[in-house]
Amino acid sequence: MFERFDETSGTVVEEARAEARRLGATRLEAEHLLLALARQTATEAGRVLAEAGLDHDRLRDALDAERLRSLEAIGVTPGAVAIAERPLPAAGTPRWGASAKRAIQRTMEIVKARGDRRILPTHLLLGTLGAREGTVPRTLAAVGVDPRALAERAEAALGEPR
Amino acid sequence: MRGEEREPEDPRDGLAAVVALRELAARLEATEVERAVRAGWTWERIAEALGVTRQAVHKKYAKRLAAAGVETGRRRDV
Repeated sequence: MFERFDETSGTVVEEARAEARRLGATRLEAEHLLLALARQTATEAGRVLAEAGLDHDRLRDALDAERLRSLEAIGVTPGAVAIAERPLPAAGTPRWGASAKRAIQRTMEIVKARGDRRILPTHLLLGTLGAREGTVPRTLAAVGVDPRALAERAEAALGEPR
Repeated sequence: MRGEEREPEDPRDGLAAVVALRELAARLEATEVERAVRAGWTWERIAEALGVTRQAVHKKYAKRLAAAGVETGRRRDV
C-alpha cells in the first residue's frame, strides 16, 4: 500500500509519527496526520489548511482546546490536566491507531474512485477530513471550519478525476 | 457553536470525554512514573503502586525514560 505514496506523502506519515511521539502518544491517530499535513506548507494540502487559518501551531492549539473542553464538560479541572501537560516523548515507533487507519482506508478508496496512481498529501487530507466522528471533526467544528468545504478545495486542487 | 443543532445530552460530548480521559490517564501515568523513577523507586514498587505487573510497567516505560536520559538502572528502594 505505502509503495504508492509519493515522496511527500511518505514524509507526512513519518512526520505524523514524530507528532505522536512528541505529544507522548503511543498510537498514531488522525489528528497527528492532520498536524503533519499542516506542516507541509509547500503542498496543496498544507495550503488548503493554511488558507482556512489552520497552520500547524493553530491546529495544535485547537486540538489542546478541544481536549480541555471535553474534560471540563465532565468536571475535570484544568489543574488536573496541567499536571500531565508535558509527558516524556514516547519511545519507539507509534502503532497505527484506529482513527488513522480509517483515514488511510478512506484515502485508498478516494484514490481508487478517482483512478489516480500516486497517493499525494492532498489524498491523505481528503481521507483525514472524511471522518464523521472523533477528535478531528470536533476540533475543526470548534474553530468554525467545515471539513466538507475544506475537502471541496482539496478536490479542486487535485483536478478532474481520470 | 459546533455547526449544527444538538441535544444537550449529545452522545458525542460524552464519548469525546472518554477519549480525552483515556489520553489524560496515559499522560498522567507517564508523568507520575517518571517522577517515581527520578525519586529512585524500583519498577517493582511502581508496578505495585499502579496495580500492574513489573513487566508491564517496564515494557511501557523503560525505553522511554532511557531515551529521555532518566536513569532507571537503580535497584534501591526508598
